[in-house]
Amino acid sequence: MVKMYYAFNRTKVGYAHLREKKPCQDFSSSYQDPERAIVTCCDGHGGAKYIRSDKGSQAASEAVMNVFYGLGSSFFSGRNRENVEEKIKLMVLCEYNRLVERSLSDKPIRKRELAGLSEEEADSIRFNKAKAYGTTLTGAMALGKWIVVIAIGDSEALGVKKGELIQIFDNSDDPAGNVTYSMCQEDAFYHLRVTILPAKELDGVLLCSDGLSSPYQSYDNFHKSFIRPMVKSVLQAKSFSMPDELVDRLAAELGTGDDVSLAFLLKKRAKARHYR
Amino acid sequence: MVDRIAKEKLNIILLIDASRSMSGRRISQVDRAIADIQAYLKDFQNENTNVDFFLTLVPFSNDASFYNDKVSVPIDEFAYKGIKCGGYSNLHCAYEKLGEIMKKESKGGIMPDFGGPAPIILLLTDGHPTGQTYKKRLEEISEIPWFKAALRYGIAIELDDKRTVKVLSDFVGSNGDVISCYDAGMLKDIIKVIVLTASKVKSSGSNVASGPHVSQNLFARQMIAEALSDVESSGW
Repeated sequence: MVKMYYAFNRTKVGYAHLREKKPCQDFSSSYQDPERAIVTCCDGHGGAKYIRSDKGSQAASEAVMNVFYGLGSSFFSGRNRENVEEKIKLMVLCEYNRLVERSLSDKPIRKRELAGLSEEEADSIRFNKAKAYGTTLTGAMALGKWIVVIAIGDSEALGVKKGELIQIFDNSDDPAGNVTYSMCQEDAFYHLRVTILPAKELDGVLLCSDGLSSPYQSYDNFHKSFIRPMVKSVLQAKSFSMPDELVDRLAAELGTGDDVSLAFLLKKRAKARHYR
Repeated sequence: MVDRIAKEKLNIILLIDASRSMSGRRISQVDRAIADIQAYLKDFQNENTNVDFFLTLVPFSNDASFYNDKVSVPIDEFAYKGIKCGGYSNLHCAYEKLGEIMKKESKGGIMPDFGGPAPIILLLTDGHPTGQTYKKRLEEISEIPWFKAALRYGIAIELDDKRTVKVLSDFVGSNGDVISCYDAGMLKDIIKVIVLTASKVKSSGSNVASGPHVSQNLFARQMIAEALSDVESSGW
């Protein structure tokens, strides 16, 4: 069976993180087989107390990948959509928690990891070790006639169709000013969003960390200056050289200094002329 | 594709009581503070790689309006020619105006759609607001995420009235402080210290501090408290 989608991901460490000798706290991944295409993009928190947020973003990405990979197309048929969405949220959250617990069991938090923290910050990690892994999460899967999208936090999940930008989730009531919902919150379930969309309604889904979107400031600017030319380039050139190059340049010099991640699913038969 | 990349956007919003009692020395101190802030931030912006500064003034008396009918004006384009004072102090009108702009740009407000540091909001008044509607309006804007995240300061100008200080305390909540200015002659310095110190803190590496905490506001408050104590010791 021919693969119907391009599935792309790229993550680069930001220049400020390099300067401060911080690890890359973003993590993205992509997977494709003839049946499905999956992408993920997760952004570990930059605050000092999130001492394992690089591991957190990796766990979040793996959780989405593991859960999505295990879903068959029959999972979506003949069920109440809301129930399916709630079930996916729960599955991803449980898988994430399992991966974090496994990481903690394999490598318990040591005193020296807490050394740079204030007493209050260190106490908060001792009290709830999973907080050390704080991260956002986004993921998308194209499977049969459906596209599933999941998100929590200030990483973006955006749809495109015929050149237009579609905000998949309304995040206007989310926290603002460098504060974000997180997988490490005890009430993460209530802030996770899942939606299942007919695949025919979208040309693709784009996920990115705020290191990529923030320099563009507005959806309008991001759409015109990044998404449209990038999608057009991929469809015309049938290569990822432009997104590769842009992620690298934003991380190395042009962006805010934060890590930069981009992942997308894009229908191969989408029309480049719509993205002029 | 990269030519429309901008620095992060820091909004500075001043709600200025322009009722009759503010005329004279009080408003002239505000005028001078705004001129100084503009001059300083223009230079600072040119040297600073992280942030661009945008100014919104909301003078309020019988009604409230955006100064020159413009919001979020780039600091180097702001044209300030003073504020006329007169009438009552209808704070609820200023809160309504604030509510209009504390949204993302894609929703008709002035806040960036993506990221960006929380704004700085100052409320300056020399008397108790007219009517009671301001409480309801404050409750409404207190639900807005960008207002919640904002660093908020209230300046009580030459007043010794617990009721009005309470109005300012309610405005700043747990995300700022109320400063009492006992001598209007010091008002210019107080406004400058708050705006410039907060701007410096918020323009220094805000972008890599994302996480469910607001330590940047706390840090700014500490720095402002220190800077204000210098103003105090120099003749407040």
